[in-house]
This record gives sequence, C-alpha cells and structure tokens, in this order.
Amino acid sequence: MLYRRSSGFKWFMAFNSVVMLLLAASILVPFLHLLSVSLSESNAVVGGKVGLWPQGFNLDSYFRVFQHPSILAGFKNSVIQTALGTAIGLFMLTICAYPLSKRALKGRKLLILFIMFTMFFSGGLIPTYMLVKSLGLIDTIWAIVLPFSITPYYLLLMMTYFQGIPEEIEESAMLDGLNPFRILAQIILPLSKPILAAITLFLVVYYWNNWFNSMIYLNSTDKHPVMMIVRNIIAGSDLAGNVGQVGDTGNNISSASLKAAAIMSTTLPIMLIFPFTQKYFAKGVMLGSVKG
Amino acid sequence: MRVSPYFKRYNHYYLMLVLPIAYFLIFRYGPIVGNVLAFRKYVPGGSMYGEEWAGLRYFKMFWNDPTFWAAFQNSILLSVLNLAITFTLPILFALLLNEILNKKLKTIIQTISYFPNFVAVVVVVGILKEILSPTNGIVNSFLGQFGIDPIFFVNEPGWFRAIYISSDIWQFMGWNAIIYTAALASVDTQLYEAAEMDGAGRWRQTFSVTIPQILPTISVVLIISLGSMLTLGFEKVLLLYTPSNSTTSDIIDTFVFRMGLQNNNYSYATAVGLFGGLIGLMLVSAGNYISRKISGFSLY
Repeated sequence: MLYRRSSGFKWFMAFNSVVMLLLAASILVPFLHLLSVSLSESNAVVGGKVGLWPQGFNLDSYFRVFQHPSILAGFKNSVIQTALGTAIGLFMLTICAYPLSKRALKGRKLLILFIMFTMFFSGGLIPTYMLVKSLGLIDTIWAIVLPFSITPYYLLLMMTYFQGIPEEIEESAMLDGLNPFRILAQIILPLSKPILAAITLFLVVYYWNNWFNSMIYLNSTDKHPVMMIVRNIIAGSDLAGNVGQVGDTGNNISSASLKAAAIMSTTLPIMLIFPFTQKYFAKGVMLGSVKG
Repeated sequence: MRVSPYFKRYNHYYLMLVLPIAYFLIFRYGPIVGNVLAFRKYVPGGSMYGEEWAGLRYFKMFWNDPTFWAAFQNSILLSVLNLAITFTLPILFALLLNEILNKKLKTIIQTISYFPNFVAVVVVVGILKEILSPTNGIVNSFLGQFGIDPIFFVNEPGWFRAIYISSDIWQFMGWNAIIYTAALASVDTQLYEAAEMDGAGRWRQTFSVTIPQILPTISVVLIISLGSMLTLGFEKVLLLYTPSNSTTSDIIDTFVFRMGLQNNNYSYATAVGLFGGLIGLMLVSAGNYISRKISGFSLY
C-alpha cells in the first residue's frame, strides 16, 4: 500500500493518535478530579486547589456518606430493584423474542409492527403515570419493574441473534420430542450466552441508574434507590442534616467532598464491572447492527 | 375438531407470546389510549380517562400560552443543535478511530470512550455541577488564573445549551460510534485495494468507499435519532433545570412534568405531551422518507 509509506500519512497517523488519546483523557479527567475531591482535605477543596491529584488524603467523606441515614437502605433498594427488574426483563424479552424470530410464524410481521410502533410513539408521561396509578402500583416496586420490562430495541437485538442460530438444531430436537419451551430453555438459551450477557448488563445498568421512576412512583422515601438519594444530595436538599452533623463533631468536611464521595461510591459498582464486561456491551450492539 | 398441523406445531410459540402481548397492550398501548385524557376533563380522584368531554379546550389553552411556546422553541432549538452535533461527531470519531492501526491503542481508546454511556444521568449532572461550581469548581479556578471572575455556569441561561450538548458529547459519542465501527469493520477490503489501483488516495477512499459503505447504517441511526429527538435527555434537562436558567432550559418535557405531576393539571399536560409526541412521529416519518430518497434505505 503506497499511501502508508508517504510521510503525509505518517504525520496524520501521529496527529490522529495524539488527538484520540487526548479525547480519551478528557473523558477520564472529570472522574479523576472528583475522586481527588472526595479524598482531599476539605480546606484544599473549599479553596479550589484540587486538580487531578488529591491534596492530602482522608476517607472521612466516604465514612460520612455511608453514615447518611438512607444511603445503605438506598443501596439495598437499588439491588432489589435491579435484580427483580433484570430478571423480569430477561424473561419477558426472551419469551417475546424467541417466537418472533421464527420466520414461518403467521402474523409475525404484524406483531413486529405492533411492537415497533411503540418505539416511535409512546403514550407520554402523564398517561403512563395515570395508568400506573390506576393499576394500584404506586408506591410498590412493580411500578418500577413492570412498565419497562420490554424495550423494543433490546428485543430487536435478541431477535436478530436468535435468527442466526441454525434451524436444523431445533428441527432435530423437535424430532426427539422436545416442545419449543424446552428447546428454548435447553438448546437456544445456552447457545445465546453472548446476547444474554449483553442484555443482562444493559438491564442492570438501566435499573441501577434509574431514579426518575422512583421519584414519581415511590412516595415512601425508605423505598428510594441510591441514585434518588444521590440526586437529593447533589440538589443540596438532603445535605442540611449532614452539614449540621459535621458541625457537631467538629469534623470539617466540605459539601463538595461529600457530593463527590456520594457520586464516586454509587458509580463504583459500574466502574468495577465495566472492564470485565465491556466486551459484552460492545458485542450486544454489534450483533444487532450487522443487519438492522 | 381437527387441529391444523401448522397450529399443532406453532401453538407453543403463540402461548409464549401471550404475556409479552399483554405487556404491550397494557403498558405501551394503554398510555396511548390514555391520551384521550387530553380531550376530556380530569376530575381529581376520578377515572384516568377523565369524566366529561372537553373538546379541544386544553389544546387551545397551551396554544395561547406563551410559556408553552417558549418551551416549544427551546425544545426544537436544543434538539436540532444537539442532533446536528451528537449525530455527526460519532461518525467522525469512528472514522478517525478506524485509522488507528495499532489494535491495542484502538481498543483502549474505544473502551474508555464508551464508559460514560453507563454512568447514571444523576452522576453526570453531579459531576457537571461540581466541576462548574463557582466556588470550588475546577473550570472556574482555571479561568481564575486568567483573571476571569467565577461564572455560575449552571444557573446562567446563556450557558445551558453549551453545557447540555457538550455533556451529551462526552457521554454518548463513543457509544454511538460503536455501530459505525462495526459497519466499518465489515467493509470489504477489496474495495479499498481496487480504489487504490485506480489511483485513489486516502481522502478519495474515504469519500468514495468508506462513507458510501456505511451510509445505510448512518440512515438508520438518523431515522431513529429523529424519532427520539424530542424525548432524549429529559432527565438531564430536568436535573439541570433551575428557575434561573429556565428561559433556555424549559423544554416540552419539563413543561409537561411541571404542569402534570407538580401542578396536577393532568388533562392540560396530556394535551401538551400528545402534541410533542405527534411532532416526534412526524419527524420519524420525514426522516424515513428522506432516507429512502437519498440512500434507498428505510425502516418501513
């Protein structure tokens, strides 16, 4: 290849690599800064002296965050919401995507249209709220996990994957007397681990990060997930009590450090699983993108 | 009664679909039907479909409401700006990433680039408020070194759009580029070799081979983003919304949220929401039509 030997191309390569590395750095900088703020001495934080490296070192703000009356309960609620939401979502997506991946199924096109339409036109915030309310789901976890159990986009990804599994495997299983339920459970699902992993991760991230639905559907604050509590801390409405406490103990923690610690500790689970699972995230999207 | 062989073979599949169809009827089409509330008068404690017909009363109400039109303008302006920028940058990013020949470097940059996609919007806004803080934010202390007085970015209407769009780029550019990276990886290398034989340089190859090859992908992404153009980012706007930046940060969705869930004007908010939804639907159709004309590719 001629152009690869030209000096212009080499310059471009070097320039491009530098630009891309700077871009990657700019993505990480806010996290580094916040981590430093959460770990720094409060005087340095208040003075705006903290850059990318902690000034001093203490974990006080983290202790304070975990002493916050509702944070631990929030973590527990988040885990429950995430586990239940993910389990229901996976189940519903699977039993919806599998039949629809059968090309010979009569009415399939119509059903797909019926589902895809909801991608482009949804009922809107208020009618959805009214529906959830009239079903008596307000202030229950069901209001969080039921209305969003099937996302048409994830359904498309799963359908595409199932369609790629050779039909012959199922034919022979059917001759052996297995019904489609058992074929799905014993043959298709074990063959679909990559897409199941990807969808599981998407759902886990969705439910872990969710706060809005909890805000509108859960009245009892003791049912709120941790993101909702972090949102209150960031908004400042939940900090008054903490600042009072800080004054009492004479332990000086700036509100900025507290917010930073709250942000870091709730993002930590995602940060920890991300490096090990990122290949599934990417795969999930790529699988669906081969032929939309 | 004789059961047809087709049904005998496929009945299990229909059985599986019972729950999902029930889900779509209840939770997706239920609210669509619930939009009838926009034409009916809601009485507190009454039916979710309202108690009596009100005709176009609620539509006329928002039609004559200047705060609605301000929100409408903000929505359109923010969406168009955001779409134009966050739609084109991932394509550029994917093209540049594709030029990096070192596999390891490429993987590292890509992995970092899509990490923010999984960060909660609450956290993103928390980070924004922290780094943009007028008292101890890193941005203001940086500007301070040039003698610039602290700016209360998140409260300034003039800064809202820039904050919103740049944080969207930060959060979603890498993730949105994945689909193009996948499309680029599947481009037949013979096409490049053939183009090179014909004397095409790097630029020529990009414009004559790469871009036409990923055009169908670009079209699909464009149609889908047009459809969600008006709804995207509602939570972030809501979190960034303050009364002092409301002249630019109040959009249709926050208007609906305020009117409906905070002021309990359910019918009025439903009417506004329905109007926004219909505009979204029109945009998808338009995008679909344009895509079919340009690239011959359409979703339906």
